[in-house]
Amino acid sequence: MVRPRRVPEAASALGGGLLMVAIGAVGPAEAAGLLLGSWNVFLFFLGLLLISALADLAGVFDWLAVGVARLAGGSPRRLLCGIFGLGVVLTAILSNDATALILTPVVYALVTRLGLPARPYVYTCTFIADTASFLLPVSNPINILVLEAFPLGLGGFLRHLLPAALCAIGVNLATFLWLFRADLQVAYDPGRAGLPARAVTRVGLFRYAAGCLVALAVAYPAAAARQWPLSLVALAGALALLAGAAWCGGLDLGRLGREVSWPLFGFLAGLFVLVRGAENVGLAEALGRLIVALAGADQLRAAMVGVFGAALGANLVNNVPAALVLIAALGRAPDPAVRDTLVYGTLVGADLGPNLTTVGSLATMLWLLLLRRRGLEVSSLEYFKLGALVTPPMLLLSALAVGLAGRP
Amino acid sequence: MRVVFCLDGPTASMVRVLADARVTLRLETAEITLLHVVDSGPRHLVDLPRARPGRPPLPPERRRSLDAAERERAEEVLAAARDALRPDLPHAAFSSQVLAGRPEQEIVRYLDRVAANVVVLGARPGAPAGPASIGHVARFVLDHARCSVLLVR
Repeated sequence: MVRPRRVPEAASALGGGLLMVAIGAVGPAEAAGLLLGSWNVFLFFLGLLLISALADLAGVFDWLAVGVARLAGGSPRRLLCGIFGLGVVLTAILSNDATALILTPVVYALVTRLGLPARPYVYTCTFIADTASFLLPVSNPINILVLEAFPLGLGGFLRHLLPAALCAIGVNLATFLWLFRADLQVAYDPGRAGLPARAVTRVGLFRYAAGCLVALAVAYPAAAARQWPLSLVALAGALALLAGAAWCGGLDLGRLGREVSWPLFGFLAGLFVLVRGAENVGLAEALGRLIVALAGADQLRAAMVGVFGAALGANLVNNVPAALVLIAALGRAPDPAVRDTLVYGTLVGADLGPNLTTVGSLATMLWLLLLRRRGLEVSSLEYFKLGALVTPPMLLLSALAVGLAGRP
Repeated sequence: MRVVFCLDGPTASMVRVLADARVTLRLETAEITLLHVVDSGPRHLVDLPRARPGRPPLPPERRRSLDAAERERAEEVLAAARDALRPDLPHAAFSSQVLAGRPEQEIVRYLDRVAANVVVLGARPGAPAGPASIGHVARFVLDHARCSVLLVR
């Protein structure tokens, strides 16, 4: 939560992890075992990042965005709904980062060319990336972190979280259509979007990549249903795409390397050890007791505690450490039914909560507000105002849906 | 007389604003600046999710494609405005200006810098009469410009 301004998050997390080892809160062998034991999480992140970057290289995102603009037929409201739909599908299959990091600039360039006000569409991409990120286990890497500790199965996941996800998506779409209604009045010429085929430079690579993504969309739920490690599916998909790109001559290793968030691995590794240290000194146990006391024996109350507790943590520190601390704490919950509801609630809060500040934590947003160039300050504040309006009703409805789904 | 036209929105409604302004103002010998401000807000929103821990910056290739889209849009807006005004004003002096930033602030700053006499703005196209018919940029310029403001509905 507090770190020197110029120290990257990965360095501060790794430093924290090393400090835990240095003060003896975590033994070196325990830390090594913990990191090696988390291979599924690390490899899943790697596979996911590579798949998104390779799909972008193949022109899949540009093709889809242009296709949506043409299908909308010149209606800005239909275009907004179309981009919402596209964001939902991409997030469900490729994770929230694919939508927030890759689809957002594609959509910005598209609507600028169409002469439309960019704000509603850019906000749609950044918001739907988090809102749709508990549709499937692969829709957000946080889900993998949680499911590693609590293997709940695809059936349970969908039964508890699909209604909540649909509620959140519905609230998000309805609110945006109303809030941006003034910007969605004047029709555009769909022909100006160009032809989807023109958005693709290597047709063979594009077709191959599209085929791989369809195969992944089938393989992920199938693997999740059998509780196979999802990292293996993600890595297989990434390797297939890599081979295809190399075969078609479209593999730009420099660009690919820049698109993969390498510091994320250091950030995760540091946090794993840091949170284990907090667990070993009894902090997680104390938090667990507090959560169990707050949740009581009622599923609805447990869902509220899980959702709003995780959302608070996600915005105070960051959703990854917040989720890791809560996972460690929830292991102490005695009643399995209440514990499962708390886990699902945590997952929703950690996935959806960052919509409030988008940068993942209040601390990061404050840094942006204080330090970054003019304009970004305004965007952060503007984002926070919109998040404060849209996120609480989404959290509340999702918590209700999780609580009701948990009742016998 | 130095007149600044602030240009944004759909091309058809912008051309109508220009035609109405030409009738209202005596532009035959005016010094006309066609001004387009690229709103930096949405562009920064594109970068915002990349401020999350460990996320890479926007790749240079993608940054260039966004720059190109903004440039194309600005050129198109300015060309459409020139085409709409020039045939009827052969003796007026035309110049074009593209700025980037928060449109309302950039417009007011620019008006002060060039000591404009009149600024021409358009109301929200298609909006019914009422407070919502004037966008936040036009509202800010109405409130803060030191020169006369012509708001064309």
